[in-house]
Amino acid sequence: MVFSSLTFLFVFLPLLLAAYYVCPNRGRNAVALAASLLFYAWGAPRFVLVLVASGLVDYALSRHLPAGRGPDRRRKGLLALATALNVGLLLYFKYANFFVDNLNAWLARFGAESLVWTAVALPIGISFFTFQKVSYLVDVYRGTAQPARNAADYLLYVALFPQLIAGPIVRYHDVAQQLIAREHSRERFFTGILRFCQGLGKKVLVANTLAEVADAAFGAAPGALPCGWAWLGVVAYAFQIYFDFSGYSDMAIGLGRMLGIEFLENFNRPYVSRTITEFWRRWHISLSNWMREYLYVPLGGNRKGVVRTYMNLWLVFLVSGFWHGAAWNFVAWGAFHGFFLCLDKAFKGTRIARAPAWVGLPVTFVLVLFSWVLFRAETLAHAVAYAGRMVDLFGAAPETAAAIEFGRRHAATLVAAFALCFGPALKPHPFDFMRLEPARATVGQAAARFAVAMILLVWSASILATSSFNPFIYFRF
Amino acid sequence: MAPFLLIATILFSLALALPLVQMATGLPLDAPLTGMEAAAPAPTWTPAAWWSGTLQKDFDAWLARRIGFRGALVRTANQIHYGLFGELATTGGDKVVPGRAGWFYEKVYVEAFRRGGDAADSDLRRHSAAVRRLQDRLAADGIAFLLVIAPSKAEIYPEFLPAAADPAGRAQRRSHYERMIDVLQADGVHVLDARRLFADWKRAPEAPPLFAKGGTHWNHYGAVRVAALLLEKLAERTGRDFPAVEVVGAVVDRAIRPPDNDLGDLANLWQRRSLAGPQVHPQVEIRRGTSKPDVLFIVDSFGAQLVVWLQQQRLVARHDTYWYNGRHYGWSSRREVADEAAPRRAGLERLDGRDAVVVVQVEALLPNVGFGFVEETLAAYEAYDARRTARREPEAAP
Repeated sequence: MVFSSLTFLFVFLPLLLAAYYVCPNRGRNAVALAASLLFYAWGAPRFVLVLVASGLVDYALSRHLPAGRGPDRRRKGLLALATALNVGLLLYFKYANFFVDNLNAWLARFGAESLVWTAVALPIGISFFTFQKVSYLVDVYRGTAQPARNAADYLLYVALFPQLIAGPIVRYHDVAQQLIAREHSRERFFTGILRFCQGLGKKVLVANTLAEVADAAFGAAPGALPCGWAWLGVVAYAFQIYFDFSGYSDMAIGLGRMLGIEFLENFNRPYVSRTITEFWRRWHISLSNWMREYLYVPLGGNRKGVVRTYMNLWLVFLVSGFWHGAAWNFVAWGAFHGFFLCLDKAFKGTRIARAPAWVGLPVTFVLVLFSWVLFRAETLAHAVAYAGRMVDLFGAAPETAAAIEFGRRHAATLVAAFALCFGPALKPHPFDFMRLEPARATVGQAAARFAVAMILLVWSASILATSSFNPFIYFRF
Repeated sequence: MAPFLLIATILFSLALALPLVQMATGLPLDAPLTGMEAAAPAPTWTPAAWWSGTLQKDFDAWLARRIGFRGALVRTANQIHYGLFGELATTGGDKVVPGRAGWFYEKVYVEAFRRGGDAADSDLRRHSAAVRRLQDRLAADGIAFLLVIAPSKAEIYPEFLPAAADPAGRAQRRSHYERMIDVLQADGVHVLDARRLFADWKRAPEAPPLFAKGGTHWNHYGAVRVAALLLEKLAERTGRDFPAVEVVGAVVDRAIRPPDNDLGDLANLWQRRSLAGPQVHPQVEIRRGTSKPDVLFIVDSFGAQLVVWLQQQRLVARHDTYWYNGRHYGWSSRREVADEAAPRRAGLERLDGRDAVVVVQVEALLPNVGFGFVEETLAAYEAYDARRTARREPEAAP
């Protein structure tokens, strides 16, 4: 199930909220867990068994991980086993097809027979919940958090529906206390409404509209793509992925607040970054935090000399790229970002690093655009060909240009997306407008924001309703 | 602040819950939608359907069709998109394309306008030759044949098309009509070329509109002018004294005749009727004649307006009608029924005693003519003629 669906908005959510708030405090975790498993099973009924079974194994092993529960070697061994089980599941479900395809390509090159392999289906959200599970195991091992009180609490941490499918990646120690006791207040619920509606609008009104342009550009043969259209396509995709992903995070944060749970922020106006390093402080913050805490630092971080620091940095981004998708273009995307992060580090403190914003911001944005080509293209070859069209500024226009529909709606949405992303100087920034602290606000301020939220809700729902309405004038047999 | 937060929470909860309540109770009333949809099957509540995921998919599809206030939501989305961007949020099906100045077009005709005619010359000749063969064979049985080519709104009023339809590039493209009309005339096919007539009528000074802003077909006035010419042509071809109609003027008002705002209705906007624009109705003088034509009609939705008007005015005798979309109106039964084979197999028995066969179709459907009727009837005639020849041959043999 996805948030931007009629089933979620008008069946799942109202029934869940009713059941959750009718239930006394002590039963609310059970309601939230049952709803979360139903939410997951709605899209992947068989994989809910994988989620629950692996969660129960984690919980059983985690009981022996805290310091004092046995010899350190045994604890370390159990942590390695539990982590390996989770990473193994991820490798199998997400990467087995990729490895077999590549192996078969190599075998074919040497004239050998291909492996016979039935493609494995991917459980939705496995990349996200695997990282959360590893976070729990490591936190308990390190002693930064106590093991969950019971298996249900742990399953709720893993499966809590707002963040289950697409994050934010919640580290266990950030929410451990909230799983036991949390505050339900009108203020928190109200800010949850604002945030949820803002996210829904970002996803349905902006991201889905710009996806039409990006899909047309990336769906066209690169040879038939004029240079201008190639740029337009990738700019549309840059805004699409931001409004889609950050919109989802907004909805997750909003839903969390409705259930009394605070998730950490996941985005902070990433396109105003002046360096790639800054970009990663603003983009998918929960992933950056996770990577730093559970990969970069354990690898040695910057404590083992300059060369190892650069190696670790680059390796983390290589893994991050591969985590995003099982294809070479994602690996290249990670390597691209890792390379520019290393450059940032190398030039730190120099005049280049101190370049003014009007230089750093556009340069960084253009670099990010090229990285999005790697991310969005179907294959590495497609990405190279597409980027080739972008840099062919003075080349001849293709004889038969691809037909890309770009109407007033697309243009208006693109301008709005641009203004929202690059307008941090505006006071108040539109996104800040929706982030209200009721304790410090007047009724008028809260009412204005609520009105905007309701407009976004109704407008988005109306767009979702039209997607199922494809009528004919007269009935045709 | 606390009371406001409580009110806001209640309002938000109501906004989420009301569609389900409306779906269950039908209250409060929703704004109905215009247009035909296939029914969404209800989900099957079985464990097997759940585990395979079909229950969930079916439920989502079923809910999307049934959700409360669907009509209001769809109209709201369309109205916002139309007001802000001049387009509709609804996609797919017979999508309505909003043009300039409140004009609407049907997507299929806009696509044909933008694409031009790309059929091979040999195809055009083959279709035209088949029509001529049928015309000759019908003539041998004393039945007249007439092909009425209806105009596409996009071709007659390109000035109101959206820029995306590329009206500026039209001069560089040749449509199937433009390529085929000469072939039909060279082959001697009897054509009532309403496409050319509409272009001429539109150019006349003080000419009233021939299409309604919100309709995909010729308007009431345009249809009756063609009906008048149709009767004139039938009388000319058969030498009979059929009724004659003269359009002596036009009345402009706001009274919408059902098909003249079909696109405006299908757009499903809140401001439905205010967009329909002026409606043009004919003023006619009718001379009854001594007999009425007995016609087999093979028609698309343009022809429907002619047939209905002729029937309402009692200007035709027996008239079976085969629709392009697999329906058949039977004169003897006086009702319309679904008939998957229509109009391909109208059958020779339907031709018995007819004065004429009239095919009415819009130019965008060329080079095919008659929705399969021409080919199937020719084949039926060939089989019939072969049987008749076979019966005669033994007598001649001795």
